[in-house]
Amino acid sequence: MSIGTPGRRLAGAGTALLIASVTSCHSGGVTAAKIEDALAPTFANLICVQRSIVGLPPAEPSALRATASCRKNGQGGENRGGGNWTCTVVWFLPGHRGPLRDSYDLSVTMDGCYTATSEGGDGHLGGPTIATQDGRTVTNLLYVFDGCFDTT
Amino acid sequence: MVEEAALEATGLFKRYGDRLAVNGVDLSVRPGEVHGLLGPNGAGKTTVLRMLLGLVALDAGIVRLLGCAAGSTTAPLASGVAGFVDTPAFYPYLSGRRNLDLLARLDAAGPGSRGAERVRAALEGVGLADRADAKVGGYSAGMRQRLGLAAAMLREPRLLLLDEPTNSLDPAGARDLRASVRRLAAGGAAILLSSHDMAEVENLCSRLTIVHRGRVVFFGTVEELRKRAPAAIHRLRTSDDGGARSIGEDRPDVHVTPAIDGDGLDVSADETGLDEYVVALGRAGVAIRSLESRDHSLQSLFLRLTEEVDGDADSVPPRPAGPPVERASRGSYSGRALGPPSARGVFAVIRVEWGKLAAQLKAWAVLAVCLLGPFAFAVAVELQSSLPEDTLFGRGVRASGFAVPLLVLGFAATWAFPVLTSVVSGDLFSCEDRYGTWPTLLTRSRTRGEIFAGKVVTGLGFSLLAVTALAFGSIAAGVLVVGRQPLLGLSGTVLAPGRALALVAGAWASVLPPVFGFTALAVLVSVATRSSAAGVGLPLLIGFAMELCSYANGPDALRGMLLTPPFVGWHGLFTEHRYYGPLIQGTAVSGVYAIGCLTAAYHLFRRRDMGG
Repeated sequence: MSIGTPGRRLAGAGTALLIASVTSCHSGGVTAAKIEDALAPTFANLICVQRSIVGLPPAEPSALRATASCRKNGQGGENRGGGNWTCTVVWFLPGHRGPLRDSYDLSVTMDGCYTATSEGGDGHLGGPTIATQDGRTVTNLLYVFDGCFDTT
Repeated sequence: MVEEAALEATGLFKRYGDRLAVNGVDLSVRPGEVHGLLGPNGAGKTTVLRMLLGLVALDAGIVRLLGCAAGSTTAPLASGVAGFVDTPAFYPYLSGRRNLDLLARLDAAGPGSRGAERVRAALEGVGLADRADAKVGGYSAGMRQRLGLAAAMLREPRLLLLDEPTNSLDPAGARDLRASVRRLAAGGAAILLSSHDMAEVENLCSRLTIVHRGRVVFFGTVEELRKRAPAAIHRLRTSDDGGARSIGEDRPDVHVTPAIDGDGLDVSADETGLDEYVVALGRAGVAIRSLESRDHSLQSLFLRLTEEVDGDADSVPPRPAGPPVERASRGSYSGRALGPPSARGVFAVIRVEWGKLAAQLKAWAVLAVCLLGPFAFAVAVELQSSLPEDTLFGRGVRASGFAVPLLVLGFAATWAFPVLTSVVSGDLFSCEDRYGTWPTLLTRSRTRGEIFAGKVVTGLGFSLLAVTALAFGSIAAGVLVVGRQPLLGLSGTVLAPGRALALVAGAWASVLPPVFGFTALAVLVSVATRSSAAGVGLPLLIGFAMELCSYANGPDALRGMLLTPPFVGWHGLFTEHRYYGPLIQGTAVSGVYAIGCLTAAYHLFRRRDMGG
C-alpha cells in the first residue's frame, strides 16, 4: 500500500465529516419562527425578574402567556437572516383586562443572538431605568435586553 | 575475513530541479579510518552528507551505516552515528550546556546525572567548559563549531560525519579538532570528513573520495592519488604568464595551469615535453625567470582531476531513466522500525520543546497577559461611565462578576484566541528554519514522526494552558473585582452563583476545539511557509476573515464551514432550554480543521529536504 493512501482516506473522511457537519445548517439559520420562539419566553422571564426587583408581587412566566410576532425590516426579501427585525410582544398581566402590546427593534446576528430594544409601546415598560417600590432607581431589564437561540 | 565497512553508500543520486547535485556517488569508510570527502565548493559534498544523515531524501541509492540500512528521512539516525553539516546551529537563547542537555534528551540515553556528566565531559573535550553557561547567541562561529563537535560526541560515535569541521576554527582549535579526530579513529571509530582543503585531508585522511559536480572523480588512498599524476609538476615564472599558458595549450604533452597561490604557473609534463615547451617559450619571446621542480602536490592533482571533469562536462549523464539502484534504502533500520512514533520518543521531544518554551520570554508574556489582563479589563469596565453593551453580557458586567469572563470570552473569540495559539504554534516549526537547527535536531535518535508529534502536542498543550490561564484570570477578575452575584442568562432567567460558575467554566471549555483547530492551522502555516511571521500572522488574518464572513448574511452552509463560529457555540448553555447544536457542529468542524491541517503538515514535513 502506498504511503499516500491513508492520507487520502483521512482527507476524504474529513471532507465527508465537514459536509455532514454543515449540511445541518441548511434546515436552520435565522428565521422569524425561531426569533419569536426565543423572544416571547425571554420577555416573560424578564417581566418576572423585574417585578421581583421592583418589589411587585411575583408572577409566573407561563401566566403572562407572552407571544411574539416578528418581521424583518427592509423592502422585500424573505423573512429570515441576520439584520434588523421588528417584533411585537403580546402578553397578559394577571389582574389586567385584555392583552398588552409592546414592540421591540431587534438587531439579530447570524450566530442566533439578538439585542432587543423597546420602541416604547403602550408606555408601561418605562425607559432605561425605573424606580423600585422603596424609591431606588434600577436598570430597566425590559428596556433593552439580549438573548440567543439555536440556528442549527 | 573482510571487515564490514562502517559506512557503505552505493549509487547515490540527488536532483534539485534540473541540476543533478549528486550523480551516482559511491562511498566506503572502514572502522578506524579517517576518510576525506574532497571537492571544490558546490561539488555536492554537503548534499552527500545530508543524504547520509537522512536530512534530504535519496532519489536513488543505498546507504548502510554501521551495518544497518540508513539514509531515510523518516528513520531515526542510528545509535553510534553522529555528525553535522555546514556550521552547526543551536538555539541562541539557551546556553551551550542547556543546548547539549536538551539534545542529550533526544538521544536514547536520555537525561539524568549520567547525561549531565556526559554533557560536561563533551564540553571539556572541545574546550568550551568555561563558556558553557553563556548563551549560544554570543558564541563565535568557531565556538559553535566546537559545540557542534561536542553535540556529536554526546552520541559516543562509532561513525562520525563532519562537514568542513575546521571552518571558522582558529589554528589552535583546528589543531585540537584534528587531534580529537585522530584519537577517535585510533579508538576504532570511522570518520568521514568533508573538506575543500587538500592540506587538511592530506594531513588527516588515509583514503579519500574526490567529487566534482556531484560525481566521484577519484577514490583511493593518498598514495594512489599521487601515482595517478602522469608527470612531475614544475612551478614556472615568466615574463608573460598569459602567453606561456597559451603556448602550453597548443602542446598536448604539456598541462599548464595558474598556480593556486597566484605565483606563476604549474606545468605538468614529462622531461621531453618540458624541454620542448621551454624551447617553444624562448622562440616565442617569453622569458623564463624561474623553473622549479615541485612535489606532486595533491592540490594540483585535485585541480587537474576536477578540470578534466569540467572539460568533460557534456558527458555527465542526464537524469537517470530509472533508478540505477534501489529507489531508496532497503533493509532493517537501526534502532526502530519505521512504524508509528513511539510514546517514549514523543515524550522526549515534548520535554525538549517545553524546555525551550520555558526559556522564551514570549511564552511567559502570553501567560502573564492571560492571567493579569482580565484584571485590568475588569477594573477598566468598573471605572468607565458606559458599559460595553454591544457584546453579550456587557450590559450586566457590573451586576455580576460572572459576566466578566463571558465578556472576555466574547472579545477573545474575535482575535485573541488565534493570537494566543499561533504565537507559539506558528513558530514551533519555523523557528528551526530561522535558527537553522533542523540538522541539529534531526541528527539525534528521534524520528521525524516523533519530532512532529512532540511539537504538535507541545503546541496544543500551550494553547490549552493559555486558554486555561485566561479563563482562570477572567473568572478570578470577575469574582474579585465585581463579586459573586447571580447572573442573568440569555433567556431572562437568573442563574445562581454556583450554577453560573459551572456554566462559565463549561463555556470556556467549549472553545478548546476551535482553539485546537487554530493551533493546527498555525502548525500547517509554520511548516508550509517556514516563516514565523506567516505562522503567527496568517492564522490571525484568517481568523479575522472568517469572523467577517460569519457576520455576513451569506449561506448558512458557508458559515458552518468556518472555524470562528464554534467560538460562540457556548451561547446555548445560558438559555432556559439549553441547546447544543452549535457546540456539536463547531466541535466537528474544528476536528476536521485540526485533522486536515495536521495531516497536511505532517506530509509536508516528513519528506522535506532539510537544506541543500
